[in-house]
Amino acid sequence: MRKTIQIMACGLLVSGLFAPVTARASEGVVPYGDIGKHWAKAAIIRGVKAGLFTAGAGIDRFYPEREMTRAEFLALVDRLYEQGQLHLYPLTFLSEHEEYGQGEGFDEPYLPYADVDRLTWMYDPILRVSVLLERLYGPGAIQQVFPGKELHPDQPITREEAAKLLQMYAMGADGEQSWQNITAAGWMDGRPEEKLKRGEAAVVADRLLASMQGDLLLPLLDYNGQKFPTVPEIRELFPLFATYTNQMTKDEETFVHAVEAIRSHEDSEQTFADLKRLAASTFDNRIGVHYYLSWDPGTPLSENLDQAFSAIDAYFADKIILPDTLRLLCANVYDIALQMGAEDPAVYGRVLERLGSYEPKVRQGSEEWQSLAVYLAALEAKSGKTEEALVRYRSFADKKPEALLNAVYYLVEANRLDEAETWLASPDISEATEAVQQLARLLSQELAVLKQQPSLVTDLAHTLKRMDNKDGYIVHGESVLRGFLLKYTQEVDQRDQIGHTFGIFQSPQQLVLDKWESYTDGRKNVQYERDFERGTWEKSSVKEPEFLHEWVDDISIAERARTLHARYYKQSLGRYEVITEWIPGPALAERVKHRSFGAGTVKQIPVYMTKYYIDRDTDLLVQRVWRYEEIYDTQEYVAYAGKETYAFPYEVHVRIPDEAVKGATR
Amino acid sequence: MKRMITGLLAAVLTAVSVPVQAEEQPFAETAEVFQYVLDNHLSKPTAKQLVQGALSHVSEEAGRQAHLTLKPSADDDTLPEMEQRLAEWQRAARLDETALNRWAIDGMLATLDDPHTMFFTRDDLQMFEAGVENQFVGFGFRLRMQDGLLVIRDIVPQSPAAASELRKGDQLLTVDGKSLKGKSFEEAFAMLRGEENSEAVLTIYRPSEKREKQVRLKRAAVTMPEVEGDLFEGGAIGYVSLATFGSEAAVQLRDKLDQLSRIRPLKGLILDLRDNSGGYLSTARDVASLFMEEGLLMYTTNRNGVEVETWVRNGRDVGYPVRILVNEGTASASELVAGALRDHGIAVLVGTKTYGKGSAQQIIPLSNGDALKLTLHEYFTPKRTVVNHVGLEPDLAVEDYAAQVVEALRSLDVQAYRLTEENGDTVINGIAFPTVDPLFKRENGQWLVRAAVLSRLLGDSAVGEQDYVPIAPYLQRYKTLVLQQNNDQPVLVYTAAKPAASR
Repeated sequence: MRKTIQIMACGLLVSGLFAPVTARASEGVVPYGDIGKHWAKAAIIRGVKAGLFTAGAGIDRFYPEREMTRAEFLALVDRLYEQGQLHLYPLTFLSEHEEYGQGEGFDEPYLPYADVDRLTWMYDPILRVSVLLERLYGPGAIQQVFPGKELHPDQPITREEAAKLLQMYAMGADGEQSWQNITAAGWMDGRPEEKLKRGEAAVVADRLLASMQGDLLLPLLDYNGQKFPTVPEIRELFPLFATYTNQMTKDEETFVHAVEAIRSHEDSEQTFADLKRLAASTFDNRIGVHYYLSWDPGTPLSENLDQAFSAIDAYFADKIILPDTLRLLCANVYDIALQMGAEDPAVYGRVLERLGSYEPKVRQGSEEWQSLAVYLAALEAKSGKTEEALVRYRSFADKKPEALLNAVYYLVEANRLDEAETWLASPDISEATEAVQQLARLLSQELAVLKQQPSLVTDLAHTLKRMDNKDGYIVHGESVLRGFLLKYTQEVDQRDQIGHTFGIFQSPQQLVLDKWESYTDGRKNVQYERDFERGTWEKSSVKEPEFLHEWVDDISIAERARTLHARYYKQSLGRYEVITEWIPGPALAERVKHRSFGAGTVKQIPVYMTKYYIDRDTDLLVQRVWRYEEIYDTQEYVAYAGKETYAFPYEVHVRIPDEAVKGATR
Repeated sequence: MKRMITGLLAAVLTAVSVPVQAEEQPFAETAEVFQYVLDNHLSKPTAKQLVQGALSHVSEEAGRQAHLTLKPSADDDTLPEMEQRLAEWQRAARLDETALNRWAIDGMLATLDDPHTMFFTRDDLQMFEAGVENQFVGFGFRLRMQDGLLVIRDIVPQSPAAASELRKGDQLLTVDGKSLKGKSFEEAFAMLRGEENSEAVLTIYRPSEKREKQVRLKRAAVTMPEVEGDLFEGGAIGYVSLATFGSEAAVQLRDKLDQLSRIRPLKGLILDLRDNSGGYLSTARDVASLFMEEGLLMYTTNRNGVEVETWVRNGRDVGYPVRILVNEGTASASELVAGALRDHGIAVLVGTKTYGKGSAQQIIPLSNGDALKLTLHEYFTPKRTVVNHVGLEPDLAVEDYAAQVVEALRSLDVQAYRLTEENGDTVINGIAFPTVDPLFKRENGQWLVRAAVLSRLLGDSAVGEQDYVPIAPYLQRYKTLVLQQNNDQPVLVYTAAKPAASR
């Protein structure tokens, strides 16, 4: 039963996925010969460890006093992004293909500069940064940092240019004020027109990385409805719960082998048979034996849960205070509860009661109590007792960042933004631990951003309305739906409600592209589709929505915000306002649970996000990017991602040709 | 109006059925190939054509190899019918499944009239890919036939030969005790060939030391450089040759060009694509990007009439004229690059008509590890020149291998020439070209020279392009033509007139 869980649990329990992939620069070794006495030495060494700078054979100098070139800084931004790309994923939804500059299958992206050649070291990193900027800030975004036909990649970068590039990591930042945003964040100082030296750039990266490891860019954002209640990160999922030397008894050896097997996913029935034998014997590592028996995929979840509780019983029987161990044991209980809760939500209440029975055994407010309380609160939240959860989280929010984060989240959920704001500014928090204070600052910023949400909803609705009021528009799109690659142009005549779509597509079962053309008559609700094979047209009526996203398309922005818990966030580098919209899956699934689409009934919506790019001068939508993932009761997983750009020519007049209307075969 | 697109997509999407491939069926591979070819091949073959082709070929082979009479039926025209028929034959004649599959596949592919659509076994595929990467299993030397002797012309760096005491110029006498004397090039090649890691003992004769030596060598996978090149002596004209369009070719070419330009800013370049049979499309684009900042590389069309443009982006412009040497061995990606650079006015093609492979293939892995190389697209140059089955006509037509180089240099307004021979190569301004026929001959006490080379050198068509002509009369006629002797080797030196106006 827990075989699959084991794999999933790694994702669930280890929420801090941001441990950087470190280049192996061993402690104490200075990787370059010219930084020994340099003031930025520590930052440079940390940068090497974080994989930001290359050191090793053949590279013996860092040149900390040399000015950093534009190309070097862009490469640094590329590596920073790689380090923390999960931070930006909710804002980019870039697929791996797109990230590596391959596009989704048709047009490959390229740089708008004549002096950066594809066969140079700098090309790939600069292209990746350009793709990233374009996704975040709209068409040609890199030109807003480095305008002109040439990039001058070997020219030193100024602090202001660097600030514009780093702005993506600053919450609520606006392109007009990049410099203020970045200096306010404490990442950079000096004067904007000053050049940035390599040593200084290392320090900037170091500060940024430190703040990225603190928390997500938008800590309260729950784009897929899976984040809250959030629980602490568990670093070691498979400890031995005891120290063993080389001289082990037979039983100890059996135990250690079993743990090894489970850790490396090589456990078998024998592994758990051995553990059961140990459980029945006088083997003294009772915590370990019960903990690992709870991983048995061969027993029902309820038995796994019993074993998980037996491990906690054993912990208290030992009478040794080990808060980290208790936290792991509680995490384990919580994890099993999550697995069971998917089928039977009532399980949360029962597990809460059972776990709550241990509360009298620990001293209120102690580390040990916190280990327990964070899961009690999570179970309260899961079982609908949000108010109790809030009280519990708030009781130790000054000590644990997770508690603070959850508390603010549930306050916001209850529309108590002002209360959250006041609380964050109160001595409760301002006298808390440094980690809590750092998070509190981020949360205050995010609350300010959240307060702007109603105006974003109005702005976006206004822009979309302007689009609807136009006589027509032209769409150029590229998308992937159910594995089909599509590239199309669409002429939309809104006065006559007629659309003409033509383009090419590639089926996942084929290696070559096919043509595609159709007309839609919105008044008569009919569609004429061309059959290129036979040279004929086919008429059909416009059907009910095949997929969930078609249904969502018809829901106004205001309603999405009001009833679907949609969240909106704005970014800009100057030319475009980019509004990102996230609709959390659970709320959406709940809303459509009785509705049947062509593809079936929606069971789960792992991702539902859209980006709208609005031209600041014309207030018109110029581009839209989306990624929707829908899982239907038919077990079908439908992914739909793509990009459309919009043009508004003076006149769009579309007529359905006679040959289509008259020649239609049915 | 917004929803229009998605509604339509649904219609498109449901129209396509998913072919199911059952792994366990005895003719799964035949079925797989059938489906790929039927759905994707440029020629849009019919099911009947493929089925009939498969069955008639199986029947032929069974008759030829097993003396069996299997009669194909003209009614069989679907995949299930083919599978049924094959199963029936297999039962009746107890034929081997692998052979049957192979015959059926060969039969289907034969109906396409397309030599570039091929079935590859795992080993074939490996060899094909190695070939594209200019990689071979061997000792790591290149040979030439010289006066009936096999002479080492070149040693590949980082190969077993490079690590041994073999040297350029050594004559190969025996391999594992078997004499190579009087063997043709092909026979010798067959005798030298062997499995990776196998060993052989070679006997060589080294003329400079006047002695024989025995050398023990292991065969290894040797990667030959994709790019070789140098500056022509006495000027700023570069020469680079590209062996194939393997995955490293563009980067190697970039490095070579950068290296040459560092010695001296180039005033012209000869890019040798003779006998370059192509390779990867992405490499072709990267190679083109070394000559143009931006521009159309080609159009491709497929069976559905969909035309797609492939562009070169973020390349670099060359600031000097380029000549591309082409011949009938210049094929595929080579033709693509030559055609595009010509259409954009970047290069002039010198040599003979190219091969004419204007189609593009994709390698499709089959479920059991074999693969299918399948023609999906035809391509056209930016000016829509058809390449397939036709080839590109050179701008400057020259038949002779060495004369092609001379003509290219002349067209780049090179004035000073120095032509000589070294180990049977024709050396033109310091760069050696492996020519089949010698540059000079001695007859009745006087020196003759290949007519085509002299004709191109002097720009004098009256010399003709046939065989050899005596040099002496031309020394009289052309004051700047001089015949020197260097260690008994003739050296032809010529200074062309200054061009009226530089191009």
